[in-house]
Amino acid sequence: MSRKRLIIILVVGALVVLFLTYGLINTWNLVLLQPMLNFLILLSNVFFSNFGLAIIALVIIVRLVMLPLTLKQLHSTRAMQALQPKMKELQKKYGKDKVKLQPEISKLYKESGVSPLGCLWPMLIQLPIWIALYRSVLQLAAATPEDLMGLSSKLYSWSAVHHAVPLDPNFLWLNLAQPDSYFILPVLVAASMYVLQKMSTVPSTDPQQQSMSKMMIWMMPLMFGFLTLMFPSGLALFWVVSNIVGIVTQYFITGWGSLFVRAPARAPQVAKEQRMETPEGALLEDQLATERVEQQERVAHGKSRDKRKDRRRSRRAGARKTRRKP
Amino acid sequence: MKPKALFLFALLIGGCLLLSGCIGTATPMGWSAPVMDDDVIYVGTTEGKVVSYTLFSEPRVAVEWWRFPARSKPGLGGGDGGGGFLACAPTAAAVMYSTPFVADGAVYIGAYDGRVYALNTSSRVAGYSFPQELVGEWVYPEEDSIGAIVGSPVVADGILYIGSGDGNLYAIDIATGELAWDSPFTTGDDIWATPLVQDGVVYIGSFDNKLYAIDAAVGTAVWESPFQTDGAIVATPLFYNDTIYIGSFDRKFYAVDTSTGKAKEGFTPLPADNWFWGGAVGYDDTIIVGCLNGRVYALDAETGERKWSFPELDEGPVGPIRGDLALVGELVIFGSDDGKVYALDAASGHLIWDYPHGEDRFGTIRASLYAGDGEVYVHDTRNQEIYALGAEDGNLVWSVSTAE
Repeated sequence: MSRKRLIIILVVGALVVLFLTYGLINTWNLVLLQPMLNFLILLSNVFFSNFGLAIIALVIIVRLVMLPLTLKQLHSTRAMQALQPKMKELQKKYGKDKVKLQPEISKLYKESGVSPLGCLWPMLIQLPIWIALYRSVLQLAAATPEDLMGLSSKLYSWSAVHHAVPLDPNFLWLNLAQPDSYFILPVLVAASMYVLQKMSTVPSTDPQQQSMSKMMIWMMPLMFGFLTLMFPSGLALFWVVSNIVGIVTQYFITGWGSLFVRAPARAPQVAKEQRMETPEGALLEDQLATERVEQQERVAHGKSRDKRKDRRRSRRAGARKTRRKP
Repeated sequence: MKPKALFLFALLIGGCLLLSGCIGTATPMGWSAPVMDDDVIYVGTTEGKVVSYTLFSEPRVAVEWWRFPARSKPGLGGGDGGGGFLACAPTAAAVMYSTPFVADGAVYIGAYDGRVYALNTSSRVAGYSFPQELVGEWVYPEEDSIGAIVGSPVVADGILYIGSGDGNLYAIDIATGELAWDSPFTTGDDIWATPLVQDGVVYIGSFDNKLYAIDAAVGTAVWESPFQTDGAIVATPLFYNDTIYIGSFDRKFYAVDTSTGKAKEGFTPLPADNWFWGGAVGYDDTIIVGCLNGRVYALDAETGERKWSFPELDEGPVGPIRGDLALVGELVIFGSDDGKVYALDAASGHLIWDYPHGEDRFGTIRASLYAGDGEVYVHDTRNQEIYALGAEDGNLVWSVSTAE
């Protein structure tokens, strides 16, 4: 048994024992919420009793700790995206015959070393950690006397923790326990989320995927911006910082990505199959797909057109011309 | 991952965050305690209103007399009196944490919206518009607010004293509704405590971890320096045998010499494992105080030595005790977050009765209890009910709903 598998089994086993002993909610409090909450209070002590700075610091620390998972998730997502053209080819070849299609897809995954769940597991592991951080910020904002009273049962018996509570909610122009009355944070949340989404989305040639991506790129920032109007600004600060750290991380992996890339123009209203039947149509399709990828790479890495790619493209065009000859 | 699946997953995350943000944060309900004056009960409700009930003897029932603001009008400081769906910002709620103070036909109360209200009983019964200044009604401040008010007002010698979330202690002339001092007394942080006025001195704690003594007439500090603890102070001080007794968020219970503002000599502060929030009572040279760890402690007033605790230290605690204790004869009575009212023998700490009996529970009892006329009045804020229990036997005498 590999070491990785053994660790997973041990962790899952420990969690199961905790669930059975203390119940789900108490386990959640014990393992995630209370450590996060108390650590946040200690950080505020380090940062001159400043709750806002403590939130910023904790988000950065958690992001750094989860960086390996984040990188794994990003690489998996990109690898999946890169496989899309081949997936399309398989779907075209086998149509609706799932009996033949499924093994071919599995074989493709295996050969390329990509797991369809590769982008999901890192996200699922990170999710409870982010929710714990989010709940910690919310509880420490202690907006009501009931919140403050509820906090008393979650603190460790360290003097430094009890000495610091309740935390001063004032940070810059904000009262971290109340929504931002100047609406600056909702705009920052929406804008930073938009930038992050745009950077991390790989444009697709599939019109359906294009419209879905476009909808998500706009809907998620708008939704979170709207939520920020109602939530305590401590949470909004958490989101803004998290997005900014995400942008920085993304930049070092993919550069600006699709941030400055416009969506590719729609092909003329001719059936794709019909286009592919002619040598010129096939060449056009091939050229368009290659150009999109190259444009993205140019923007991402600021490099001029790769001459090897030019040669490859010419070679492919020549081969297609040869193949399509009646 | 396909964009469609990613989109749906992102929607699910957004939904989870939305729900986890709003669900699980405490809905502000308030914990105003009932008070009685001349067979009338006054209380602040969870809808941000002040309600009075007339008590009748035969049968023993309480009947609503007046309500301010009137029914169908929003509570003081808010709209619908609650957080509501998606309204995670607590200041949207109209709630009352303050306990009314009644004197000479007037009712004084601080609201969470940061204003102090003086109500005239006759005007409220008649349903006149507010304020009727000719009969002494006012609101302070008239515009804006002074920060959320969680503590209760105290009136002494025609002056109302109240602390607020802006960190100031205010002294308001009850005849005019104007400031009695040149300026409010400023502390270093929010004030959620109720002041104690004793022998011309106002004692009050603050979130800046300090206990202050202030000249009630002019609003200047009496001690050379305030009494310093290591945690916020929200409890009402107890004056007993020329000593102030007070608990703190640093989980210790202190005795303070009133003449110097220093720790009382010979008194060892009681350590506990949670915060002290409620006020203590004094009985036969014993100080009795409740703690958020779900225990009541009885201490020697001179040395701080623990005489008894309820439950005993080797037994499990009851729920957190937030409110002040009530002393009725030889009984110490208090409410707990576990939804029960307990009555203990003040000398021994033995349980005399609890209510409801058996496994039944009220909602959480965070408001202080009020004892008068052989009865104990309990405000169950979760279920929006006031209960009257017989002080000697703990049996239910009457109950009335505070909801509209």
